[in-house]
Amino acid sequence: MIEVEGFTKSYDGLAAVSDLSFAVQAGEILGLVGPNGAGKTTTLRAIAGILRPTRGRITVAGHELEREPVAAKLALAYVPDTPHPYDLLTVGEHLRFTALAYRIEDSEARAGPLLAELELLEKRDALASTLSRGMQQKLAIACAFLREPRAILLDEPLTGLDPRGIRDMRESIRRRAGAGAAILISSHLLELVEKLCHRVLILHRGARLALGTLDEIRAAAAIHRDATLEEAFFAITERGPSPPS
Amino acid sequence: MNDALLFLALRLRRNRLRQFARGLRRPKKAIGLLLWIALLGLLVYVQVRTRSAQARTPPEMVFALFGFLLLASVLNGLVQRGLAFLPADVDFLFPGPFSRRSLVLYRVLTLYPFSLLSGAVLYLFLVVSPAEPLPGLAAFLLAQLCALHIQTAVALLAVFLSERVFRRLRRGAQLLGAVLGVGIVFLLVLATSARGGSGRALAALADSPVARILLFPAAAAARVVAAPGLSEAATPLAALLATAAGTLALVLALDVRFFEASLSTSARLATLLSRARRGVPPGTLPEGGAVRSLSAPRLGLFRGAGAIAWKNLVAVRRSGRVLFTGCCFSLLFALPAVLAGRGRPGGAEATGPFALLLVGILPFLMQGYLAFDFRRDADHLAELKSLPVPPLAMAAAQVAVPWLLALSLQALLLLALALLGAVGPGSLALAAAAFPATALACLASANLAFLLFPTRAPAGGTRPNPAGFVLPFFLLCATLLPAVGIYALFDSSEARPAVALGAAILAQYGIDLLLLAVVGEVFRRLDPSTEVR
Repeated sequence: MIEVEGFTKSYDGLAAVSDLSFAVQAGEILGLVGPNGAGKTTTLRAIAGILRPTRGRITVAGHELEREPVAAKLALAYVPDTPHPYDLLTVGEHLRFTALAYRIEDSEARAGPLLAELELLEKRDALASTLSRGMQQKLAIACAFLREPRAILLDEPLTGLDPRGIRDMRESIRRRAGAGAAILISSHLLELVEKLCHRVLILHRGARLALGTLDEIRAAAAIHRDATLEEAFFAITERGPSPPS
Repeated sequence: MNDALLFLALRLRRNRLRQFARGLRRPKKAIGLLLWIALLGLLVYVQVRTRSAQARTPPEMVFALFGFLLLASVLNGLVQRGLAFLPADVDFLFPGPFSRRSLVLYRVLTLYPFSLLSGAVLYLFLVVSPAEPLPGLAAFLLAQLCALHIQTAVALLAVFLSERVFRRLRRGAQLLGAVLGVGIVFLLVLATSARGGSGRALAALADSPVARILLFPAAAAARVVAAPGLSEAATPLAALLATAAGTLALVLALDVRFFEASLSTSARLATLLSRARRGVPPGTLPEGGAVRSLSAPRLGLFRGAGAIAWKNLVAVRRSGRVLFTGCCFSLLFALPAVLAGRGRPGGAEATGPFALLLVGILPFLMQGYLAFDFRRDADHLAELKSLPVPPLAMAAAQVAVPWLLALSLQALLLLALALLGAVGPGSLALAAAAFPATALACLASANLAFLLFPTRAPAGGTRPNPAGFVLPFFLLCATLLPAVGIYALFDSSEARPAVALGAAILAQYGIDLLLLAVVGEVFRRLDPSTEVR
């Protein structure tokens, strides 16, 4: 569903991400982890069509982003790490705008249950500027989920959510994956990634250090079989990139 | 335009108007609006009253104005590189299923209302006794749209520049823009002077083939305004319409991948907007790169509330560019008036009081450059309130640094004027006694206005500060009024002028202290969690 091949992004000759390749299949949740400055947000923004790759190819739902950006974006939803809703639009108007932009016919029928699921129903007529940080995050997620996208990019989706919100969001993400969406989550919450994701991609200084299931990550880290993702993460990132084989 | 983008543009405008109307229920906002209406009414009244006595607007003035606006739009486009969007636009529109062309059209169309309104305001205040008012107004509006389209086209084309070339060009464009602005002001002043030599030169320039081609919208607008009848205005007006349509078509035809350049441009614009809404000019943006950390002096003066003044002094130290701009501004502001006065009967003696007045009001005109106070701390008001500093001490510490800066600039100017022989020892003594009081009144008023309408940058905020320029102006007038009254009282009782002035100045110092106490009290009562927008 999401295919990234040889993705490189450079700024003034300095590579933020270099030669990154991976794929996320339909129904799969891939966790993207790495220290600050590893290139996670750059990767997500490139897949969302905001940044243009210096080299490489990105395909979403069979549409190459470079050649068919509109078709690729129709299949995609991107939730950034810091939500910036329109402060002069209400929650309901955000959903209506999303429905118009993505040509959703039954948006009204979808909006009610979605707002209830995200505990935003009572805030339907509230201006976004009056929402708390967590509510704004939920609004961004509601706009993303409204269109039932085939590929979902979530950058730190749980920031600002309360414990119940975090639990509900985890379930919501699982349900979307169960319905066939390919989901790519960037997060520093390694415990969450371990519980939620089918596979994990570890990035460090713009390079791929490891990609695979938790067992495969443990094997790559060369540590014991019961190690947590956190232990494997530190073992891999503190060791640095492996020499090319 | 795309249905979703049209919905977004209309709904944002409707909600903005609704929110503005709802906000008028709050007394502070209603008073702010009334002050604006009063000022606009005054300006319109003065304009209408003096119209009959004024000569018809010379077309070269229209040419100079739009020539400047067109060149400024080219420079502005170069400085921008990529189009500036709101942070919410970046989140919702960039990853959305919109073609680049529809996003460019959305951005341009959402800027139309401001362009058209500014064109109408320029027309109202600039054009006197036009033969054909409606074509003249239409020409102003169309010329404004042409400038907007040209700026957009240049901003899109500038995306192709490398980062290094762009940085160099930006510095050059900013310098050229400043020189151009000053030049145009001088030309306009000279063009409207009795001598009229430069006016003739401008007229000749407007008629030259090169200007007609390169600055076509400016030349066409000038011809429409100068046209004696509708039939003479029709051809240049139609050409302007075609130019506006053509430049829009050019903008839409450019298929430029602008997202990446727009990210940094939009972030820069968001910072500029947040600062402008607090009255801090664009030049005060921190310059990039590492700086040496400064240690606080071991003086008791910089303990407690003094630490706030030290923090502001550090900001002054790192704002060399804005202070340089401020110095240039103050020199440009005062010296031409003195030089122009030298040729008049009475010479320097006649211009002395005028020059003194100009230097005296400088802190008000330059208050944006001097905003090293509460206005710079809009995002840190909660932290400031948590400090163990009494409100009055906080107010005094915040106003201290801009006050000292204002006095330094005034002292420099007075020195220059004294060297030019424009002011005598008596005037200098009067300035030394009065300027600290008036400068303090000005800066305390500006801070009071800010604390009454505190603003910071919300996520996608472009709302103007309702206090803006008007409230500090009215507050300043109100604080100066008692001292003026005392002077008038002493003067009418035939006291010596020195006694009347002394009493007025002493009264002003007393009022300043009261004003500082009010600033402190307003700060104490301020709730940053609900009142800072």
